[in-house]
Amino acid sequence: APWRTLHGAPLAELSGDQDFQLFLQRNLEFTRKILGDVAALQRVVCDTFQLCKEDELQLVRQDLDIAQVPLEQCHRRTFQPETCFSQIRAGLHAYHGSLATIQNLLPGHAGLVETLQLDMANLSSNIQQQMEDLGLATVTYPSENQNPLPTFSSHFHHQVGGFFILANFQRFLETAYRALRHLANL
Amino acid sequence: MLFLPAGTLGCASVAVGSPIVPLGSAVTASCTIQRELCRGLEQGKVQISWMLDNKPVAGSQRQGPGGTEVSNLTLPRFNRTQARLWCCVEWNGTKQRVGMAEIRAGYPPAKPLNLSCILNLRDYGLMCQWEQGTDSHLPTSVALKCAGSRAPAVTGCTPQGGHSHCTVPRPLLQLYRQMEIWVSATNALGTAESEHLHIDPMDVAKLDPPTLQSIQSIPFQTDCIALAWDVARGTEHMELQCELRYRAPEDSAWVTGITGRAGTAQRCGFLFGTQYRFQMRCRRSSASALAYWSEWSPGRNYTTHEKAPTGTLDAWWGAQPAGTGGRLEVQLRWKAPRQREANGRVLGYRVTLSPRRRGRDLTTVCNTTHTHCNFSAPAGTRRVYLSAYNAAGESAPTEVILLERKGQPPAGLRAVPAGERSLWVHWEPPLAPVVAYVLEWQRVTAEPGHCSSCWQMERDREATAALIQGEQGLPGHSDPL
Repeated sequence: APWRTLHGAPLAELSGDQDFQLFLQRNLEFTRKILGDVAALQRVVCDTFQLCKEDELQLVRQDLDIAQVPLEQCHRRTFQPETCFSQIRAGLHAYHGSLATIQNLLPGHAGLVETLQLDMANLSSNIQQQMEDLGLATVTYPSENQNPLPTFSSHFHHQVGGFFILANFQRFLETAYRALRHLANL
Repeated sequence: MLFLPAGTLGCASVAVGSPIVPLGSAVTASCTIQRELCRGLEQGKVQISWMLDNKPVAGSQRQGPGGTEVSNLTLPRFNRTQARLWCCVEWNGTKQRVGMAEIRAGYPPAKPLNLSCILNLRDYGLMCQWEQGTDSHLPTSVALKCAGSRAPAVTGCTPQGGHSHCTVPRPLLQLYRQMEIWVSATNALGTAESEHLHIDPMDVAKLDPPTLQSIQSIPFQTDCIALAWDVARGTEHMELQCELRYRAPEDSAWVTGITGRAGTAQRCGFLFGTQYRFQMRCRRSSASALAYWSEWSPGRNYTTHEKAPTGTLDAWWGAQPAGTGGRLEVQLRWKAPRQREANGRVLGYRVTLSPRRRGRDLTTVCNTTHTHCNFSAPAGTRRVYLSAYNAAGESAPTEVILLERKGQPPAGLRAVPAGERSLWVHWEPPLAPVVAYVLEWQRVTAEPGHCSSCWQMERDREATAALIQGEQGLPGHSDPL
């Protein structure tokens, strides 16, 4: 189905704008890079904790307090480019904090988590600057995350929590990627 | 003028206008002697003198306030990069050094030139290098500055040990967005900045080369090959433009072509039965013209499959009637085909008295690895058939017509040297139409030697000259496979 809600949106008019297209091309590649790093962490979690399949962890999931990050404005039926961009940034900020959970779980892979966090911060900053270039209002997030880390009742729940943070983040990035790609193909 | 005290406080103090000055400019200094603080100088006249390092220079002495003695000095052109200015007094007939100021002279920093950066994908550090320009002779602090499009400038890194390069660590970089990068050099006389680079650090990423995984001939009997490759680790998320190059060992130049990004490519036009060396390199296709190519991948050799030899063979012959039985003794010679027609490694040659026919016994008179053979043929033989074969098959036969020699040979034959091992042979075209020319030669020695390879065929009917050359012809030796 076409992206009907896009008609008339200011960003749609920018589809031919060279700077905007360059922004999209660069950050599509950036998102692929981040997706690759998330996949690498998922492999580490699978290899280290034998937590590899979501299907096998649905019962435990109910006991976990893993916050969902909204991204419905980037979905096909309700696509609103401006709010989608804001939601991507808010989500990146939220996951940036959640990754501390992974860092605690996998101290031996702290470098990979830090790389991921730097990339996420850069991606958010790129989107912010592009929004400002377009005259859109933006939020500036504090560099230190204020949100408390989720707490887990056991080490096992901590591991499963880490697993779902990565799984949710991967889906989040895939949706964001599709939204950027859609804009690039307009 | 503000004088900065630089010397010993107490008995003598030396003050200079500026301890660091532009080279060649004036230096002013003063030396103040407080007699009551100088043990041994309380009595008598104080005579102040100056030394620049070990050379006396003249100042002008006067009485200062509070009973001090002051000498002022002006050096109109200070031409040393570093010197000590000594204030001295006479004591007991000897010059005593009582105060000192160090003076340095130089230039404002030169503008750093040719700034370039490269992003290392292992640690995502941005290594930048530049040329420092002429020495300012002064302590100079150099820093690489970075700024995001809205972020304030920060020091990205500082070169160590006088080098002209340093690496901006990943946390200070903004990836996938343009950054401004420049070198700033500061010394006591000023600041100079290099040209500002505006780059997305990813655009100057140095990629590792791809890996050639497999090379094969497909489909089998064509001159095409298919390659598959893997991109380097850490470049999987990039859109790459890759370049393939290949050459046979005897080729001096590489054949180069752009390949797609899909990890496979097909190329045609290869010689059969020939070893080629393949290499590949990649760069980010989305990057600007700044993008660096990776190094070429390690070479991978592949020998294309063989095909039966093609084309016709250059052949020439001599014949004499045999003593008895009316047979003909034929000396047939030919040239090995070039690689383009050999289509692999020629295993041998066959000479028959009739063209090949499937299922018929061949009247083979020679089967040899050499490029000549002598045989006896029935009287009246007018044609023989010569073919080459390799592992993939045998060529179509070249028909050699044992023509009678009629008419006159070309006139005006003359040879002129063309280098140490070559001759140009010229002739006049005959009136009769020509199919081809054959040149034969031999060394003029006491014993006429037999040289089976001292001939060549010129198939250009319009030619009136040919270059005869090569190891085999001059002075001549046989030419086995």
